[in-house]
Amino acid sequence: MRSVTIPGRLPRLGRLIVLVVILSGSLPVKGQQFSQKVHQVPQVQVIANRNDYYNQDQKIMVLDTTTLAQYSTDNLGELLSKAGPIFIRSYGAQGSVSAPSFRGTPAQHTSVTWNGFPINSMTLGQCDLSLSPASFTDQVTITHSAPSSLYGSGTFGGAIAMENQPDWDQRQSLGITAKMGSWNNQRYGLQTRLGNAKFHYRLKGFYQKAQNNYEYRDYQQFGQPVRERKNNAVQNVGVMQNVYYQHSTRSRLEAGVWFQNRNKEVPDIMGASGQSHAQQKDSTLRAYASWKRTFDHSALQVKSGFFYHYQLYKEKESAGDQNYMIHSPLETQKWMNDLNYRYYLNQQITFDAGFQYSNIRADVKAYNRHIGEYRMSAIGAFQYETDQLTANVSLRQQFNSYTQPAPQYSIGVNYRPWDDQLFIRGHFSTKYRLPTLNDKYWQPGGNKDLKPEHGWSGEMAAGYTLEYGAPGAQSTIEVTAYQSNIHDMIEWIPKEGASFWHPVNTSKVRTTGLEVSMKHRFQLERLQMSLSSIYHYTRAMNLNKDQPQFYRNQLRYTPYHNLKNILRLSFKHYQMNTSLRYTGIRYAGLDNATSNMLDDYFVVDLGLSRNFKFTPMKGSLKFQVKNLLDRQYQVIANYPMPGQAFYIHLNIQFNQLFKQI
Amino acid sequence: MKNKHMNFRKTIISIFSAGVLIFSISACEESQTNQNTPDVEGIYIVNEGVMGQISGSITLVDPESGETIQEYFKQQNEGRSAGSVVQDLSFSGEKAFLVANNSKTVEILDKENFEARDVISGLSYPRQFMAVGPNTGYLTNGSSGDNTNGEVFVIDLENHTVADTLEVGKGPESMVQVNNQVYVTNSGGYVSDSSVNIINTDRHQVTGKVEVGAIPTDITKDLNNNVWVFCKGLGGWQGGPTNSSLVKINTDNQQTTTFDLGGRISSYGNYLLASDANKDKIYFVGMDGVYEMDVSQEELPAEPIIQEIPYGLDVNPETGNIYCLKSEFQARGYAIRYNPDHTLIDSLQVGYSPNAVVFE
Repeated sequence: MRSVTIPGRLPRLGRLIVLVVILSGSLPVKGQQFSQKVHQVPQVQVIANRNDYYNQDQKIMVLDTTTLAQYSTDNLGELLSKAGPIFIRSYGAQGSVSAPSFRGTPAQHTSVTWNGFPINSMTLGQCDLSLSPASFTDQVTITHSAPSSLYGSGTFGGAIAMENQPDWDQRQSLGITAKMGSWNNQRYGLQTRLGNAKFHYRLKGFYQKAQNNYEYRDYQQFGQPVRERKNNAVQNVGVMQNVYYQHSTRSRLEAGVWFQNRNKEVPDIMGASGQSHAQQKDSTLRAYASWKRTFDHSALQVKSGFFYHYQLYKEKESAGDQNYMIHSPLETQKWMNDLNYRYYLNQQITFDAGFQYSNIRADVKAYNRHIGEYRMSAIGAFQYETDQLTANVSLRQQFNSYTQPAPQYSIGVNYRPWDDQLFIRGHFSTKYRLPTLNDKYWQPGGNKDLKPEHGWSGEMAAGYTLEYGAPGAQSTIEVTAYQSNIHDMIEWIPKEGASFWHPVNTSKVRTTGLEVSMKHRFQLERLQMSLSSIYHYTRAMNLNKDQPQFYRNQLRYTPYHNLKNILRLSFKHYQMNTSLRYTGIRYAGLDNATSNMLDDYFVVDLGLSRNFKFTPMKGSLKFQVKNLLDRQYQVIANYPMPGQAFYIHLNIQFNQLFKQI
Repeated sequence: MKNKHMNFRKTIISIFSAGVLIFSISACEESQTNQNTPDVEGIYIVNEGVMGQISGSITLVDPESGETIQEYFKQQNEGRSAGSVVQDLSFSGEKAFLVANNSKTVEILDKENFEARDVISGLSYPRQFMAVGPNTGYLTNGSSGDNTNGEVFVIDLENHTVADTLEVGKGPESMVQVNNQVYVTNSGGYVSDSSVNIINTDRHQVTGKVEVGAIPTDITKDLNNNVWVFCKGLGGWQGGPTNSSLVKINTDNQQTTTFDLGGRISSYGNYLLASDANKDKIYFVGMDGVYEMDVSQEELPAEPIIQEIPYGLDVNPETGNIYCLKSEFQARGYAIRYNPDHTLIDSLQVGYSPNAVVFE
C-alpha cells in the first residue's frame, strides 16, 4: 500500500483528526485493502482469488497476524467478539454456540468460508463460530454486506473468510502452545511446518476441554441464589493439514484437510431447577484441492472441496434414564467445485469468468427422507483500475433444484484522490439467500415452495490515513454509512388450519447504520502503542406489514450501539493487551417489550506477556484476565456469561530443527 | 398509570384479604349448601410466555371493571419473571401453586400477596397441580419423550415435598376430582397416548384406566359427575392426522361416549374445554369455533357460538362469562370476553401465550 509522509507541521485536517482521536480516547481501524494484483505475466503466488480481487469497493477488514496471534488459543467467535466488526450472540463460556450478527442481521445472513468454500450449516444456514479455532486460519477477511454476485447465498450481513496460506520464507518450525485457566479450562496446540522452495507442508492440531462450571446469580430462580453452571462442559479436538506444491512460477497445487470433533453439554436456561441432561456432538470433515495456473495474460484456478457434517443432539429427562427423550441425528455432505478464468486485457482492465457446481446430500431424522440437491452458478466480473480509481462490476446467475434467485449484480468504485491517503468508496449490490434444508424439508412444516430471500445493500464510505513522519506513527479513520433491505425474509409462523409452524416468505427488514473505525500507532524508542476502536450504530427495522404489532421494531438481539477497543502496549520484551467492549441494550422479543430488554454491559479483558528467546527456541508466557471487572451480563437472555476468569498461556517455537531440506 | 395499577393492586389485595376472611367464616356453610356460583374475587390469566425465554407471567384482572395488572408475579417478586412456560396456577388454602414447565419448578406463593415462599424443584416436566385434600396435592409430570410412562407426584402441602410417585400413562396433563377419585389425562407428552388414569385419593393409588381419544389434553366434570375429556387427535408427525373428539366418561361404570369433532382442530393450545357454573353445559373448541353443549345432549351442536379458535378456553363460574384466550406467540396475547349469551364484552391484552384463566 502506498502512503504519503507528511513532514513538519500537520495540515489543518490532520490536526483536527488528531484532536478528535485524542478526545475520543480510543480508536479502531480497518484496513482498506487495496489491490495487490499483478497485471501482466503474474506469478502464481500473487493471484488473488475472485472475491479478494474484486473487493476494493467493499468494506473489508483484515485481521492482522498480531491480532490472530493474540487470540490464537480462542475460537473465531471469541476473536471476533473482541476484535471484529461483528456482534457475536454467545450463549455462554468458550465453546458455547457463537452466532454472528453482522449489521443487525441474524446469523444465517453471514457466510463463513474456508479457503473460498462456504461452511455454513446446510440445515440451519448459519455457522457456529465456536467450532472454528483461530489458530486454524492464517488470515481472516471480513467483508461487510458482501455481494451475492461474488459470494453467493446468504451475505446480507457479510462474509467471513478464513484462509490458509503458505509461508515460503519459514520452511521449518515446530510450535507448541499450552493454556490453562479457570473452570478446568485446558488447551494444548501443536503447529509444524516443513518444506523447501517448492513444497510446503503444515500440520496444526489442538485439544481443548473445559468444565465451564462458573458461578452466577440466578435472578430467575426462587431466592435468586448463586448457582454453579451445570452440564456445561466441552471437549474439542481438531487437526488440519495443508500442502502446497509450487510446480513452477506459473503453477501451484494446494490441498487441505480439516477434521474436528466437539462434544458439548448443553446447559439449562436460567431459572430451571435441577440440571439439564442434554448433549450435542458435532463432527466435521472438510477437504479441498486447488490448482492455479497463470499464462501470459490470464490465470486459471480450479478447486474442489468435500464437506461432511455429523451432528447428534440428545437429551435425557433425568440422569438415570436409559432412553433419550430427544435423540436427533443429522448428516450432511456437500461437494463443491469452482472454476475461474481471469483475463488481463491491459494494465487497467481485467475480466473474470467463473462457474460453480455443488451437490448436496442430507440425511436428517426429522425430514423422514434422504435429500439430494444441486446448485450451479455462472459468474462474471469486470475491473477497471488506475492509480486513483478502481471500479468493479460483477454478475451471477444461480440455478438450483427449486426456485431460482434473480440475476445478481454489484457495482462499486474506490476513488483515491490523494494517492492512498484519502479514499472515497461507494458500493451497491443485490443479495439473495436460499431457504435452508430445514426450511424446506422439516416435518411437519417444511415448505418446498419457499422463494429465496432477496434484497440489496448500498454503502458510502470515506477514509483518511495520516502519517506523522516518525517511524511507525500513523492514524487512520474510516466512516461508513449503509442501508440494506431484505424482502421475502423467511420466518416460521403458526400454520393456519394446522397446529404446527411452517416457514413462509413474509418478512421485510431494513437495516441502516453508521460505522466508524479508527486506529492509531505510535512508537517512542522501544515503546510501541496501538489503539483500535470500532463503533457501530445499527438500526435493524422489522417492516413486515403482516405483523403490525411489530412494525418498525428493532430486530431481536440487535444492539443499537456497540463499541470495541483494543489497546496494545509493547516495551522491550513485555506486552500488554487490553480489550474494552461496550454493548448497548437489546430486545429479546419481537415486540421490543422493556420487560424483555437486556441491560447494556461493559467488559474488560487484560493480558500481560513476556517474550523470551533461547536459540533455537523462542516463545512467550502470558497471563490473562477475562472479564476483569467481574461483570454479570447476558448476551442471550437468561444464558449467564462467565465472570472473572484467569488464564496462563505458554507458547514455544523451534525453528531450523533440521538441516535444510 | 403506574399509580393507578398500584391502587388497583392494593384494592385487589384488600379484597383478597377480606375474601379470605369471609371464606373462612363461610366455608363450612358453603360446603353444606354446595354453592354453584362462588364469588370470584380475582381473575388470574396464566400466560405461558415465549418458548425459549423466561417471559411467563400472571395477569390479574378486576372481575368488575376488567382492569388488568400485567406481570403481577414479577411485581410482587422483586422483578423476577414467573418462569419459563408457565403452565398452571391453582390455589389451596392460603397458598397458590405456580407450575413452570420449562423451569421445572412449582413455586408456592402466598395467596394474599403472591410473594414466593418456597419452591419444589427436581422435576423434569411438570404440567398441572391440583389440591386433593387439605394437606395433599397432585402434580402431573413427565414428557415421556423416552417412551416411558409419566407420573403423578403426591405433594405434601405442609413441607412442599414429593411424598409419593404414582406411575400413570404417557405425558400426564390435566386432572379433575370426582369424590375420592382423580381422573388424569395422558396426553402423550412428546409421543402419544389415548388414556385417562383413575387415582384413588384416599389410598393414593392408581385404580383404573379408561381408553379415550388420541391425545387427551383437557378434562372437566358435569353436574351428574360425568367426566368430559377433550382429545386433540394425532398430528401428522404422530402418525395422524386423526379427528379430535370429546369423550364423556360415566364415572359409575367408566363407560365412554365419544363425540367426533369431524376433523383435527387447528388450535395449538391444550386447555380447550370448560364447564359453566351449574355444570350443566360444557364449552369446547371445535373445527370452526367455540361450541356450547348441554351435558344431556346426545349429539354435538351444529353451529359454534363463537367463531374463534382460541389457545385456551375458560368460563367464569360466577358470571358465566366465556373467556377465549388468543395467543400471538411472539407478542402479548388477548383474553376476549363474551357474555353467557355469546355477545362480545371486551378484549383484554394480557401476557404472552395465555393458556388458562383461574377464577378464585
